[in-house]
Amino acid sequence: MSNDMKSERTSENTAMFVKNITKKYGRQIVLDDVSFDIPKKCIFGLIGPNGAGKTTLFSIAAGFVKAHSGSVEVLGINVENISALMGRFSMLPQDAAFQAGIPVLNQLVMFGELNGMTKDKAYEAAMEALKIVDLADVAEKAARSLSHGMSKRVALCQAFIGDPEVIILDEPTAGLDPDNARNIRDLIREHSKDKTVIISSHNLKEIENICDHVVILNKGKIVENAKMDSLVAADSMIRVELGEDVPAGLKDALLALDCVKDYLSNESNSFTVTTENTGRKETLKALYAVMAENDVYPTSVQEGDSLESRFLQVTGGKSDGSSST
Amino acid sequence: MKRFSLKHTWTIAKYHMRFSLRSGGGIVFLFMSVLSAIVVAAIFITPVEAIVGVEGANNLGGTVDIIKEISGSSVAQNAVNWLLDSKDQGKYLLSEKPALLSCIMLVLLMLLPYLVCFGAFNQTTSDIANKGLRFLLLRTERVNIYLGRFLGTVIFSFTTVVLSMMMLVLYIQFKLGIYTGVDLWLWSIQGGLSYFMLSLPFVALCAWVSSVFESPFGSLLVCMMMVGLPVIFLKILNRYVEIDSLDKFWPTGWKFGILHSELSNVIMSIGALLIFTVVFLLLGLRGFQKRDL
Repeated sequence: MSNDMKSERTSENTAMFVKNITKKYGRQIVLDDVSFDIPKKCIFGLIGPNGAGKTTLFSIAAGFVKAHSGSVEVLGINVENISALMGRFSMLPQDAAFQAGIPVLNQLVMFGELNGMTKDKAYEAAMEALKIVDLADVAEKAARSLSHGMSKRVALCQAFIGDPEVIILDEPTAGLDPDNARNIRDLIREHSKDKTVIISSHNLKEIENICDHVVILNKGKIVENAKMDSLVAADSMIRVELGEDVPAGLKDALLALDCVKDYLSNESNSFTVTTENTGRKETLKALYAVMAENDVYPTSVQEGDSLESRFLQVTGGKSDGSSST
Repeated sequence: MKRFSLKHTWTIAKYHMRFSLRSGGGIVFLFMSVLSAIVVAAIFITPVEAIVGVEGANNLGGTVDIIKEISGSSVAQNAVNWLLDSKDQGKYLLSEKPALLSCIMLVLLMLLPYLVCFGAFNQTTSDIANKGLRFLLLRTERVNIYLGRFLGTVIFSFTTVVLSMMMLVLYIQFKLGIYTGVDLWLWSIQGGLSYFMLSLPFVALCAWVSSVFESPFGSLLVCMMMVGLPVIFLKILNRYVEIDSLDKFWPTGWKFGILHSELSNVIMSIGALLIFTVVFLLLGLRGFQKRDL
């Protein structure tokens, strides 16, 4: 595990401290002594396979669920005193629904008032937020009449009401079509200047493109905690896709090469190898030779590391779809 | 109490009232309250309307006789005796107060705890189930959400019942015209106070149940059971255990106390209902503070 984020952190330069969080559901340990911190004014990614504990960790950070042990501090304030953070900390909760029969504007105005605004100010802020997500025309509509994409955008805009300093976005693009997902990514980029934004997503490309830092959770433990730049520039990786299933003897043949450090199986017709820095041309030549010996030919070869390959490496080669605990 | 904020509590109460009016549950409660009031009133007003029709035709100055006839009528006496243990209180309600309104108020007070369940069973249930409370949890403390929803429900249910009551009082005053306005309105204010005080512990009880369950139907069912089952249990227990006023161990035992002729009884009833309210609120709040949302 790289730990390049363990530089000196103080409450002055840190948005969130997560200290020794453990959470159990029955006998199952969902989070096991998780600790890390998040610097101010960065876009921070939290990723992991289904059941890794991402949403549980966010829920603890937001005070929705109680940890068995440990604590979370946001902007130097323990989240047990959540009202001390009023207006400075917000969240897009995963799968949270607005009150069905009530116009979204009324609900957003209430959120604004609870953030400490006057009613007029809250109305202005709510309308402004709706304009940002291009939904001002549905302000008076009941929440139940909105599509999934619209609801997600409204949920996103409520997180930005009052200009908070720290924002958690739990799966902001889950269940959205590519167009809506791209719009939301653009919104996050555009409106996260001078803020700390913490995002979880199963779309690793999205995390790689947006985030400055990343923590990878697996089975309730942190298996990676690094700056994005250092993570993707780690060991050289080569991902190979074949037109057929990977033959049985190929793995051993590849691992027998001096230039190959590690072998990861992605799917039945692809694999990733971690290589020594012995020269790109020589490495590729050796790989092609072994594949030819095994009578298989690549349909695509992707060089260099990616968040996905790192993710697969540290989580044991499993990358899956949606939802989380 | 951890970070209680009156401003936040009132904001949540205000919006909860407003949202209740636009929600299915709120409209059902409104409809049921008005319907109950009309049905109960019809049972008592219809015979009186018949008397007023005859007397009014024969003798325009006969309102005193009509009042006597209502208070002495077997329908009123049977109804009051059935509802009250004390014959003195029955006499007071029928002879010294507008009897027609007394009868209506007594029956409505008996129905009120069950009626309140329809307006209060879903204070937090649906929002816990669909995680909607999460939008509020980063903006205010749980205590403010819990008490805000409670307060909003109390005001909404009380307003609904009082509006139904006012409708009846106006009908009795202007259509029947048998009681003086002052008597009628003073008595209806005391009745309104009874509704308010009696609704408090049951709204608090429903708030507690509502914060435990994640199914609105389950919450309604348990609320109704929590209102009714202890009454039955205490009645059965009373047959085997000789304890005076065993029914006073549940808020329903105090439901007619605020309509009593003696001030000490009125004050004691208010106190008891407030104690029940505080106990239910604290029990519910304790669970709500600790549970995962």
